[in-house]
Amino acid sequence: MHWLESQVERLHGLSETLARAADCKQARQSFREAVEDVAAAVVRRDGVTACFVCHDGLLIETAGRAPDFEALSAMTQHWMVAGKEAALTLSLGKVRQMVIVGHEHKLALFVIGQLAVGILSPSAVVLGRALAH
Amino acid sequence: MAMTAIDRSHKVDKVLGTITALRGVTAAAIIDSDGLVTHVRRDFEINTDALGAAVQIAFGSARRASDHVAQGATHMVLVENKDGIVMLAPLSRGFVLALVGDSSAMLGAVRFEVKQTVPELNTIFA
Repeated sequence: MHWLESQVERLHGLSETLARAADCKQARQSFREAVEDVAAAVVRRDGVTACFVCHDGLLIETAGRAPDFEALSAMTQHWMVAGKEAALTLSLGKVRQMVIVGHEHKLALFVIGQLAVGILSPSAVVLGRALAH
Repeated sequence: MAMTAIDRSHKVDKVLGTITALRGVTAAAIIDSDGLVTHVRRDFEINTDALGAAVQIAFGSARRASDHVAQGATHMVLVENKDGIVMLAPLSRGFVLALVGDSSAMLGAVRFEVKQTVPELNTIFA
């Protein structure tokens, strides 16, 4: 299985466990640690500039180097709101991923429960390949 | 069976311990409606009397500001300072949870944890 896909699935599983957990504290800690581990692992891949995790537009974790992580997380909230609205209008189902490609950089966003994970890279990088193994 | 005061205190200490384990969080305290600190966990010396009074004043001001703009109950107060953050969240029965974080604290992580922790503390204080 594609490495990033497997990590995202694992995080979804932990997020669902957190939502159902009787002992929220342990589930929350496990979820948070897993998210931090994934961010650290993603940024070690060739071609990935930065990885961040945010909630409601505020940073939970950062890895790598970005000019402005706070701007990234704030804009992520904008994109998430717009994306969710569009997905609702078009009956796409719950938003799971978004990719914004600029002339110089691209940003891939993954929705995991209440959190969003963002991966920043130069536009030329094929993230699917960089994060496959 | 009703919780004893010792059980309640132990549970609160455990919750505050979880909060202060977050990166950058240097203190967490519970302040009652009279501005007295009932529970505190900290990494540095802190004047708890001053903290308690300041928290209730700050929170009271925030609540009045919200009333003035008709925005309903205050759920959280965030103070972002040169060297860190202070976050306040109301609990039941007039208690307030106060957190102090240094510049390494991740605002989103702290806020996320506080949002999850408030219901837990309200259950303890119920």
